[in-house]
Amino acid sequence: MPRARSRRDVSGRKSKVIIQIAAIAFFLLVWQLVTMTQLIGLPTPITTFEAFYSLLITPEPVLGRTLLEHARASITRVLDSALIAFALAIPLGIAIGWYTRFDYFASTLIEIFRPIPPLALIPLVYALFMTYGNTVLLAQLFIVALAVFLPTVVTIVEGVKSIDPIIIDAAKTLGARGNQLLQKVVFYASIPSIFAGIRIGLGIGWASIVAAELIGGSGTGLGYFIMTMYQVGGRMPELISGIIMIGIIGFLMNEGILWLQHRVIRWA
Amino acid sequence: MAPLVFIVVIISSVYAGCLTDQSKDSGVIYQAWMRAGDMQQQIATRNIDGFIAWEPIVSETAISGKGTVLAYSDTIWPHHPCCVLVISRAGLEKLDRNAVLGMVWAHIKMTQFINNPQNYNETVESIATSTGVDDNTARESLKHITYTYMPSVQAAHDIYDALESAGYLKTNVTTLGYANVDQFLNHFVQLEFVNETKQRLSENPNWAPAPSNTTTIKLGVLSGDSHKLAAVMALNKSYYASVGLQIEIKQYSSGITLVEGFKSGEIDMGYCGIAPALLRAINDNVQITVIAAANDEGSGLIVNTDAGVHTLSDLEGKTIATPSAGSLQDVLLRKIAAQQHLRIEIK
Repeated sequence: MPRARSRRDVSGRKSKVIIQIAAIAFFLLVWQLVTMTQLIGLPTPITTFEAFYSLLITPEPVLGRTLLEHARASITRVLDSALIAFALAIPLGIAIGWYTRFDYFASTLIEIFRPIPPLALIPLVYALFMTYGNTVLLAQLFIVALAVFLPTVVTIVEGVKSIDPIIIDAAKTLGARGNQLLQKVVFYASIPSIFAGIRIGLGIGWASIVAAELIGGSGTGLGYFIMTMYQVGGRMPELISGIIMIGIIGFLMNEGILWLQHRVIRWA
Repeated sequence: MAPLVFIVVIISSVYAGCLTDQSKDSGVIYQAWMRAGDMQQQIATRNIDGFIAWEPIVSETAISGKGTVLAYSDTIWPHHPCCVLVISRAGLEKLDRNAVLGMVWAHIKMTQFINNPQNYNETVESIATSTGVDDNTARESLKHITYTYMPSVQAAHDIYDALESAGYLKTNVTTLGYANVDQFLNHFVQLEFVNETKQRLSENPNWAPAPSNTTTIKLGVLSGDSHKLAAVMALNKSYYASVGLQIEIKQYSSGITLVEGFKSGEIDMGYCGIAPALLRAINDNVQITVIAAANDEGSGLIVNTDAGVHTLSDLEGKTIATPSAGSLQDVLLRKIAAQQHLRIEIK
């Protein structure tokens, strides 16, 4: 097993990068071909990337902010919500995975709430927070936090449940009991699934930020930027630039966590 | 594990706290775009210091005490155009010409009815029932709105200038196949239907377009505004039916979304602000034409009673909400900012 892994890491990395570049080139080519058919009013990749680069540094006149400023606002919102969600999901996930009776109780509720798309909750949440100050911020944090929380907790629960019983038995044989078992064995054994949960949760949270930013009065953020460009009209390259930015950041977040995961858990 | 959770919670709450701490600039009016229907609640929770909306929301807020009127839109921009009757070019081609004339005829007839002081009580009643406000609010809102039917190319030009100075116009009219802005606007505003109806009515006040086969017209309106009053009353008084028109009403929350309805073919005609209609007609080449005006003025700037705003110059550093970018109320706020030498910053 270690041999196979190292071979993939060393000789596979170069070809992986080449294939990744080829995938992007393929996508751009298809995009270019679609625009050449003129069946839909899609701007060419060149026009779009020109707009993208200029928006990175020059403020877009309608909202008065650069694409990077909008990206920062969105990232901040997602990270704030995600931190709250992780703080709840990690201990809860371990507890649900470990205590069977609590699992029956909590999983029932989680499985009822999990199929509801965060998008469907926007009007409700907005109306609920209407009577508070900072309605928009609270509603956005809530929606993204919920979007992050549910998949994270489910992934961690599955991870805890699939911990090799041999490890638990070995620890018990060595005299570990109760909290000691939970803190010294179960917690460490579930770190890979915590990372997986964080990665999945953050991905879904990032995807839901667009929905959360559609709430009126958001003012900043990539979702809000896209929506405003659409409403004012005639700004297809700007609109697509916002979408590309969401894609790039989502990709980098995922890669970043994978990188961190490989550094933190060398044993898995 | 417990300390870890504790630290994460602390960091995240401090971080979230920093978010809400926004420093106030001088020389700025903060603008928030939101649904007109949410504004009363948002001003009550102090999330915004004021808003610009259409009637009867302005009068309703003032009478309920949630806010005070700082300025009616006629003082910000005297005789400014507002809502118009718009038809899609597809509708213009598809529909019987008499059906279009019938819509304009009903609109003019009802506008004359509304403007006749003898019909005051019935008009108030119609505003109240169609927008869900009480009679008192309806009476107040009626004071600040001018119902009209004669569209004006000059008014469209004023709106064009306002949209251009706001930086909203992305497309040049020459790329749409027009030699210049005037040519575009003369095509965008068509006076022929109103002129013909007026002419016929002056010859014979009982004239009505010859009923062709019953025609169904899909008509878009904005929910909860009193600017489309002529259409509401024409429906209630069966004016449309009398010229063989069957109306299917479709409600929209803003002019921008209503114009979307034209783009997707959901509606043939609609009552909406001239600003969003013109904005999307230029930027996205939405094929629409104004065939009648509906009202002038009829919007107002409401501020929080305790926000310490007594004149327009006090708006510096305040957050004012308007419906979406390119709405007439958005244009009005930009007019105020320009008059007061303040910048607009989107919040």
